[in-house]
Amino acid sequence: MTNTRIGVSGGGLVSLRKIKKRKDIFETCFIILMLAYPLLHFAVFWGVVNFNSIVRTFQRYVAIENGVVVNKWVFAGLQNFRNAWNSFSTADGKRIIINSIGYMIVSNFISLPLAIISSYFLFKKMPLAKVFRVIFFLPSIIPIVVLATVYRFQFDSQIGPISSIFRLFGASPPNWFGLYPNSQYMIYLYCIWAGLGYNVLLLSGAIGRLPEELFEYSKLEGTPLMREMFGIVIPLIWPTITTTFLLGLTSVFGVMLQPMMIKQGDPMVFTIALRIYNSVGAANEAARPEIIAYGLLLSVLALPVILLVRFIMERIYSDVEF
Amino acid sequence: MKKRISVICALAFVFALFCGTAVGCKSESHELKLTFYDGGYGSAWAYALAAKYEEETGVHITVDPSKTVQADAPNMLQNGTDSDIIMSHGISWELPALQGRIEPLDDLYAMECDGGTVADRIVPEIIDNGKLKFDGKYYKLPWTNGVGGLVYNKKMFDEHGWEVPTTYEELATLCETIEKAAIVVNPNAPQQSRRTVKPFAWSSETYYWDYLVFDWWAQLQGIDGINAIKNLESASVFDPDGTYKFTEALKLWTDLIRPHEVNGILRDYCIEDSSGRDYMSAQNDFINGYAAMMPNAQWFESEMRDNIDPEVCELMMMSAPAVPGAKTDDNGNVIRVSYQVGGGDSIIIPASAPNKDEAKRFLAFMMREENAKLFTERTLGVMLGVKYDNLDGIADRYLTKFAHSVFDINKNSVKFNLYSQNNMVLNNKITLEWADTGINEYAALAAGTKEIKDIFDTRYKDITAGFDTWKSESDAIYGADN
Repeated sequence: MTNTRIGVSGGGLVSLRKIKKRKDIFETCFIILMLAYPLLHFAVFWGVVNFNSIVRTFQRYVAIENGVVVNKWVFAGLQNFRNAWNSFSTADGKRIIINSIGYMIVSNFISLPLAIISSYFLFKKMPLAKVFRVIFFLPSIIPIVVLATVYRFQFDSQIGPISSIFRLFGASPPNWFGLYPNSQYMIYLYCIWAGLGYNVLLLSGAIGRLPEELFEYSKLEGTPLMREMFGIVIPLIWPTITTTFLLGLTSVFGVMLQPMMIKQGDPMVFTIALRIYNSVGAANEAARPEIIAYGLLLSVLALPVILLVRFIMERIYSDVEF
Repeated sequence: MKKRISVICALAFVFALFCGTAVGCKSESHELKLTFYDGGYGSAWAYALAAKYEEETGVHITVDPSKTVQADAPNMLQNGTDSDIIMSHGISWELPALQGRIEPLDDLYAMECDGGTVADRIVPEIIDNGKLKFDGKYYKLPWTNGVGGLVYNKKMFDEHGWEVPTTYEELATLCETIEKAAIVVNPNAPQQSRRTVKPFAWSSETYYWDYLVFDWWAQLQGIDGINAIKNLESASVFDPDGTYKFTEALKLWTDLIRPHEVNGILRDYCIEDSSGRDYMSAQNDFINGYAAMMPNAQWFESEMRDNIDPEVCELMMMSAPAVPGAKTDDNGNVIRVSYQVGGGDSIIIPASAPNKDEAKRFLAFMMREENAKLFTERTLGVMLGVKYDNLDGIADRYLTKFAHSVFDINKNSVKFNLYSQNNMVLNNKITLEWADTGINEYAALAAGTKEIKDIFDTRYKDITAGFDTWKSESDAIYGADN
């Protein structure tokens, strides 16, 4: 090292420094350029949009004032929040909230346990495990439009196979989709059917990563299957279950396509997201602040609930490194 | 060498970009883009009119049928579009008009058309009820002058000697006759799958019943009464125990459709699980002879033309049978009314359209009677919102009995719609018929899970409670004088 230094002349050192400086500048430019796009994207499509939306919730639109077209936004105080809050207590408002909470219950307390059981038995290499894996996952890769149409036709009162089974036994098929709340239950059933594969895939991945030795030891000990599932598998994949549970919790605010596709936008099966989508999609800009306030208010109410659930879930089983 | 190749590649890239941009540019006067809702009317009419216009003027029209134009329209108006003309149902045009996003059409209405002006060509009731103006200016043309109600299978009626009902009582009797006849449609099917002809087929698109029930409502309320409700002077116009007749019309409907006993026998006049069925399945049931009548509208034949077997089904539209208590004229005859289906359909020119003047010339061309007939011809009977003296000149192969029946109803009825420019309606606080959330309750009423009184008492209570607040909030947007 010393020899090398001695061997470099003064001019050489300067040019080395220049090269290093140029390299530094190049690297800095490279980092700036690489970060510029995502940062700009974030600033415009997240920062500005959200800031603008929040500002809108405190404004109202005035198109005509004293007989003159003015087209301006004016300060409205908390009027939009008051209207949004009042909308919770109307019959429609209550139904929308109940419909939406239903997706969380279905997702977390029906679909998730089914997915855990299915994943475990698939992992235990039950007969036809690979076939079932494909069957479970198939609905997740078929477009929702096709899937919803197929699903509806299965229950069609005249040509659907399920209704035919009812007739075979001399019974009349129920009004599956025509009447609320039947129509809402049918959408929940669809979510279980179509959503199971996704959860099975996530949980199978988590179970697949568990050390083989644990199961060998469990086999040597003669641990029954149920004990193995509840005593070993579930605690070890708990972080994945927590994540899936929290995702299920957010379905209260996110489900939109399922009711839209299965019931073609019937307001009886509206969810929070579908209500917001429908209102924002309309050309009536003046009505938007209220619906933004509605979304914001619900987010504010939901945030502590989600954080609390996460806090509790993380304390049920401690993280295990393996 | 590499540098040269790089430079040549870069130049080629820039040139390609330029070409792409150049293709996107439109000459001011030789191209138009017509974007319209691709639904029951099909698109054959647009290609026919475009070809004729190009032949006459040399202006090429790009025909752009779209299933999503209604949803896209707000963005197209707000952010600019290369479409010169937009035609669709459900465009909320009033606020965008005030915001300068829609081209005013006063000069179009003054343009020459068939020896008069375009304004002279529009059906007068549409001018009166449709409110094509906002803030003193025309912003839209009406698209269609629709007819809805009960479509019936004429072939089936003729075969069984059934008369087309002209009164509600005759309709009820006809339903009973059809139900009692128990005509098996598919005798070769296994016992459990055999089905008999039902009076009515309908689907989960329950709002199709509106077309019949609104006619009954207008018969009971009178057109003036309907127009008075549109003004929303007070909440009391919705009082179900007062002058609001929509509930009476609904009661007549419920009495007919809800399964009920006739001479001690339970009768259900509808195909099983109607309210849960997909509308295409229900329409197929009807044209395949499983039902004698179906609530539908003027686009039905155009929508189903490829599926109709003339040996099984021939479509006709009937006038709404007169209900007890219907308003009569000076001679004691029931005033025939017809709800203008699609009364809110619009033809607009976006302010950002590249060829606004040419678009206006095309629309004036479209409003000419011969071209309106071309529209009717290619949509199998759908009529534009303009005056037709007759249907002469339309090729026989297009002019079906269905088209004639639609024309007859349009020609011989007083047209009305429920479009209102009241501030509360514009601000989505109140609708004139069902709840403001867009929920209609036909399915629940047919199944007997809800009663008319409960639905409308609750609604009246809600409207009474919110009326003043909604009014002041809506007036604050559109001005108290609107």
